[in-house]
Amino acid sequence: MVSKFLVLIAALIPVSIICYLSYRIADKVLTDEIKQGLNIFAEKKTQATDNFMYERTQDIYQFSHLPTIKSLFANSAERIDQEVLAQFIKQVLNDTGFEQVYAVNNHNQIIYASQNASIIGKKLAELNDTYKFLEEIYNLSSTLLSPDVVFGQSIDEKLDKIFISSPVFDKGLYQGSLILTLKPEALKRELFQSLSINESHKYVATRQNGKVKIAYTNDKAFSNKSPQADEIFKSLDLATQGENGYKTVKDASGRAYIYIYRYIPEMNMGFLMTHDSSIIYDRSQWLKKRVIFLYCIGVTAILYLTIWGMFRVRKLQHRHERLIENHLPQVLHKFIDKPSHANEVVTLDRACVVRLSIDKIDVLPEHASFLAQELQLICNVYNYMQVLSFNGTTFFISQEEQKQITNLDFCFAIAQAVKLFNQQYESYVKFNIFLSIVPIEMLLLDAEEMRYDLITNKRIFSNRMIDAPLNNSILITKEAKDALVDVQAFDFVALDDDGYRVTPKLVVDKRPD
Amino acid sequence: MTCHYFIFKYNYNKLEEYKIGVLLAQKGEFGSSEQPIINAIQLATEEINQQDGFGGRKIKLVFEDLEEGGLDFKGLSEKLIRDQKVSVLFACWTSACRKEVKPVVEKYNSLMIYTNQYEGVEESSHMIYLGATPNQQLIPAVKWMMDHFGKRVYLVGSDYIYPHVSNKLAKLQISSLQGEIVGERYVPLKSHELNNLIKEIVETKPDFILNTLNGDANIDFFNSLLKMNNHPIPVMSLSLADGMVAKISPHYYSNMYSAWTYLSSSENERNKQFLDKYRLKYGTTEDLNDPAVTAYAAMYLLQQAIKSAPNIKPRVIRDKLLRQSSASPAGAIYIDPLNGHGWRTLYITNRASDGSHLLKWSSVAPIRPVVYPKLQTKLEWEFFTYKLYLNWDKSWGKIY
Repeated sequence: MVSKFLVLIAALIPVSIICYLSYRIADKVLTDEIKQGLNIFAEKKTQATDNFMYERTQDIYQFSHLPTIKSLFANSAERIDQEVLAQFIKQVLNDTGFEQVYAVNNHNQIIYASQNASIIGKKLAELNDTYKFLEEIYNLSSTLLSPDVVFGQSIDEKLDKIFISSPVFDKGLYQGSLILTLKPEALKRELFQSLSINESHKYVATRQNGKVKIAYTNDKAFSNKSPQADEIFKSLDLATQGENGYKTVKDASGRAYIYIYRYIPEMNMGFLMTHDSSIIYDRSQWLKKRVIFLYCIGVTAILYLTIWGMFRVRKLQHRHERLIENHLPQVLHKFIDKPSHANEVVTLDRACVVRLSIDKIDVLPEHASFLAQELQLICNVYNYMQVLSFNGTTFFISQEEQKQITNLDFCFAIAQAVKLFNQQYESYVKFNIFLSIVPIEMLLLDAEEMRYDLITNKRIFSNRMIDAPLNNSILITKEAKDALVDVQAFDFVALDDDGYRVTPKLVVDKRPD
Repeated sequence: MTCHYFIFKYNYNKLEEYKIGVLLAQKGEFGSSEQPIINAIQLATEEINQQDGFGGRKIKLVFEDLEEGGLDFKGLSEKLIRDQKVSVLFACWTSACRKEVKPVVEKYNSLMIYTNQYEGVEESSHMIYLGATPNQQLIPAVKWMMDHFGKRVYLVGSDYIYPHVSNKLAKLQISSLQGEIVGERYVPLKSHELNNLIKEIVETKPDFILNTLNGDANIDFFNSLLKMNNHPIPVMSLSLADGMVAKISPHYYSNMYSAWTYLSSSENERNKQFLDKYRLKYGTTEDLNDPAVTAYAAMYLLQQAIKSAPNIKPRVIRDKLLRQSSASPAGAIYIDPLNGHGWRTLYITNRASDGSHLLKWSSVAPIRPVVYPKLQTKLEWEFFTYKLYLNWDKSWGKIY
């Protein structure tokens, strides 16, 4: 029993390893899934921002095609109706998030400024530092000659705005550029609105002279001296250069944060979302627990089945033993009690138990001991043992499950030994050899009767014949057939092999007595 | 799940190689322009293979030399895609080559990455264009030159699709800026008979020349121009590979202007690292050009795409390439999801006395690619290119 428990424990070790590895993989997959999910959130956020900015560039592109705007540039020497234009800008452009409008003609002269009339008519070069950004943006716009987005900051760094410019063409000729500023609120709304992950912090950074500068963030507690500032800047540095990715960062207290960073092409900026991993993973804890629970159930089930199987096998072994002890003698009596003058062989397809009887030993006791020694020798060779003796009949059982051929060999060895014994001592020892089996599957099916076949040159009896599909025939294995052919000396019935069946058919021409 | 893990690991280790076809000239007229692209692809391949390849797949490069193959663009590309079964093709310097290879790529549902600047007016769901489109190169370059040198422009180019379409656009733009075209000439590719052209340029006295000559003809063009005119006329070259500059008289350097989406003297850390690695492997960086650096960046964009793709079917990889961005030696490159073209940063430079680039103007940020310049409608552009195609007897220029 101890050894069986050791086997059980040995079997449980790989099961436990498998369970542990499975859990680790499930955990990793889950963690990666969460990071991927967050990455997709960030991607969607940057895409939404990009789309928002693209729509604004299309707005200004359309705006630049309006007859009002073209006439603004065409009549730049005169002043157009500022009031009408101001009303138009207020009503139409404000709704789409624009704030200020500047128009610069192709002579570098400001011809319209929606909120500062004092600079109208001035050349860009004449403007003070506060409006220096206009010159840079006009320079870019007039060179690219296509709608463009620029994040600009004035020298005092108070005017951090998104500028969108577009060239204005009239009758196929370049007239100048429109420059509009976008309200930061409009962009922030796009960037910071909740993605159902309310706990996240978001940062948008630009790159100026090789250095990263945070333009917008919803992290009110953030400062350049924050404990995580270094890592935030590192991620934003990558994002502003065009990299996308995610990583886990731990703060001084060991708390883990997931950083997702992405590049925003339309604004040439970097975007970073940070998440407290404990909060993020908290949402998936139930899933993790469920995985652990399922694995626990799995392990318990495996344990239960293993123990149940062990007890079941033990129970069946007991049943087998009871069958041998109680049922077998009744069967054997049918033959032993009947007078027989010939050798008999009982055979079956498969065998796990072999029993042999030598009945009516009519020899001198000292001669009988020789026979007993000889039989013991044969038992040792074939690994059989004497298990039962009654009414002068001896039974032998295989120590282990045997192949049919081994059982037959054993039986014929016994038969040969008896034959030689008879010749040597001029005796007439008659013997019956019963090769009977109790297949393990029958035990499992709770078979109440043993199955057996008796085939001799005198009589045949098989409980398999009761429901045999062919009259007076049973199917035997090729091994059994070969063995029977090999021992023609015993004058067995003819074997009929029609050449089609893998399992030969043994045709019997005699019914049981 | 464990079984799946081990099966996955087993399969992962047994993944097939990822074959990349490289269809470029290793010698001849375009050898000096295209060999650096091959070098850059090889360098990136070595680096990526030293990591885990393309998501566990080692890269295998399969080469076909355009020059050796007699400029049989169709046949060679078909050989790579159909026979060699390459998954993606890096091919062509000239647009004439690209126009011939594109139908083959489309026929076999393959994928091609084109890294040279080009004339635009083309889209394909089987192509990724990472070189500059006209609004990322030609339009700003012409405007900048007009702002700095004047409005009288001479257009010179090789006689094939790219210079013709580019010059058509340049003419529209110059006209919209109230400039004047003082001359327009085309010479066959590989032709070095430039005397008449040079004579005409000198006579017309343009404020600057817009040069779309391709190949080694550039060397003769600059040297002859200098010979016939002591005062070098400013030239804006749109397709002059850096590898040729050493063969041009240094007296012309200060008037040689280029518009590329890569600046070799950039202080960008990635650029420094790339130059060090390139120098270590090939001994020099003088031959490096924009398409080569773009090809190097494209390999990493491809790596990102393949890592995130469920399989390596060309169509899937192309879809995954869209929206990819990376920090490259040329700055941020982003692939536009709408048209499969790269967002690129433009650098207008002229040459120092040692031939290196001196930055004159930069777009600072990557520019959104516009495939069909808005000075004409899409249909007008396509009709224009189709007429050219018919005029060249259903080819894309006088290539031979």
